[in-house]
Amino acid sequence: MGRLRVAAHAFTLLAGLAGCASPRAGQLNGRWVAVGGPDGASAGIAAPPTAARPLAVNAQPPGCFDSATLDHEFGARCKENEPEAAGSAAVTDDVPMGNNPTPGEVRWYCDRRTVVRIVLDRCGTANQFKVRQVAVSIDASR
Amino acid sequence: MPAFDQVTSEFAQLLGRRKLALQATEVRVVFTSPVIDTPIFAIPDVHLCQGDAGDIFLNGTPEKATALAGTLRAIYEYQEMHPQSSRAVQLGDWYDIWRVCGEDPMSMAFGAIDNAPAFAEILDYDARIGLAHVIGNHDAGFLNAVPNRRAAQANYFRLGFWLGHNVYALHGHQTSIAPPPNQRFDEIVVHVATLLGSFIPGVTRIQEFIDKQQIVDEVKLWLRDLFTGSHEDTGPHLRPRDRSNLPATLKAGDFVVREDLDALAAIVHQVEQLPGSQGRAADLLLVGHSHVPCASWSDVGGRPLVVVDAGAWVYGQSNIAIAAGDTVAVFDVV
Repeated sequence: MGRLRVAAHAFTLLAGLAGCASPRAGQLNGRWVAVGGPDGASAGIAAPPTAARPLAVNAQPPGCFDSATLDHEFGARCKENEPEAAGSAAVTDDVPMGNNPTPGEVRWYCDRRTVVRIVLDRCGTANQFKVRQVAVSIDASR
Repeated sequence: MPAFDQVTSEFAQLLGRRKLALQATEVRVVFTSPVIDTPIFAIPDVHLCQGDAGDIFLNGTPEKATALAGTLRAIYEYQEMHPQSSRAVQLGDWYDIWRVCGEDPMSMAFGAIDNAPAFAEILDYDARIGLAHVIGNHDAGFLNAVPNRRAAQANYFRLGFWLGHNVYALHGHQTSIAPPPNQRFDEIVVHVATLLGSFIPGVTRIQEFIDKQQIVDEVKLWLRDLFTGSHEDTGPHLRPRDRSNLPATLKAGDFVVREDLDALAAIVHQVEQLPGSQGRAADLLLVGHSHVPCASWSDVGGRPLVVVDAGAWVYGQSNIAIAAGDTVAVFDVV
């Protein structure tokens, strides 16, 4: 009987480990977040959630980040993503003169359950970007 | 109009900051008068793969990525020093989608190239310059979708580009498949030129564009194969010296007889006739594709056209073509 009780206890422990511990707590305060809504979109470190108001984000104005920071915070880029269909209506076939930095770019980040597409605006002519739109798909079945 | 020597000297100084240098090759053409109105920097075939062991650009040496990033950075800095007064173009086969995506150059799933860590700085400067890319046979997928980081600049990807009044650029694979039976190249070259000059990625799909042309089906199929089909790069060429007398427009140069030279010239002269060319006429054509730098000239259109093949960045190569004033030359970046 004692041996059975020990075995049952071991099973409970193993089951707990196999289930990857407890579910994640819902906490954003202090974490990297990307937010979007009628007040606009941005990314940065979340302030404490307060009184059901839109989450404040602490980022140095104007909220511009370099590519390495964005990749570090958002995680792995998607190995593949659906193509960004070309949308040009330009009719010039002249190579323009000088530097013409991309006005904005798009990044796709993936993990097992989540696909995130982020539209970025370049901050002036710097090599930094601010988040213009965040689109998130969460596959709850995976 | 800055002189060629001034441009190359300043560019070499910028390269020197990254411990890189320009080394002359045999390819150097001098016109009798300054015909290149703005300095041009042309990067030939790069063939970015996945940044792994089989990558023909990296060729097992990570320093290649540093050298290309340094070269692009020097172009960026030159253009910052001289705003709106020079042009930069990449001559096709920027990505090697053909090698990475199961021998399908039309694949649009090239995330492995977009996201290769080894290419992060290269793609950073590609986006900061807003580098114009001619579409080649190994990155034909750009005809329908462009890399993520350039998704807002689809108009910087074309089959052919003008660079000022009298310089044109195309990849050079447009002569690599024989015309269909009973069709001569000079009869159907106008259709090649129409695609080069009038097809705009994003406005329509290449297949749809070809289907709308008023031409027989066999020529449509040929055009589709020519611009979207899988074909390997051409092998090494035996290019005999061109010992003919130079035309009056040329002062000096070591010329060879390039394969398909007259066909390339015929294409450009047809592009000149398109309304979009607005009366421009080429004295200089910049191409890649063969990976072997050379200079040649043709008078097939009744006026001399110099064709400069800028080489490549594959395996041990790292070429750049620079044109300014009265001179165009190909260098090794070392």
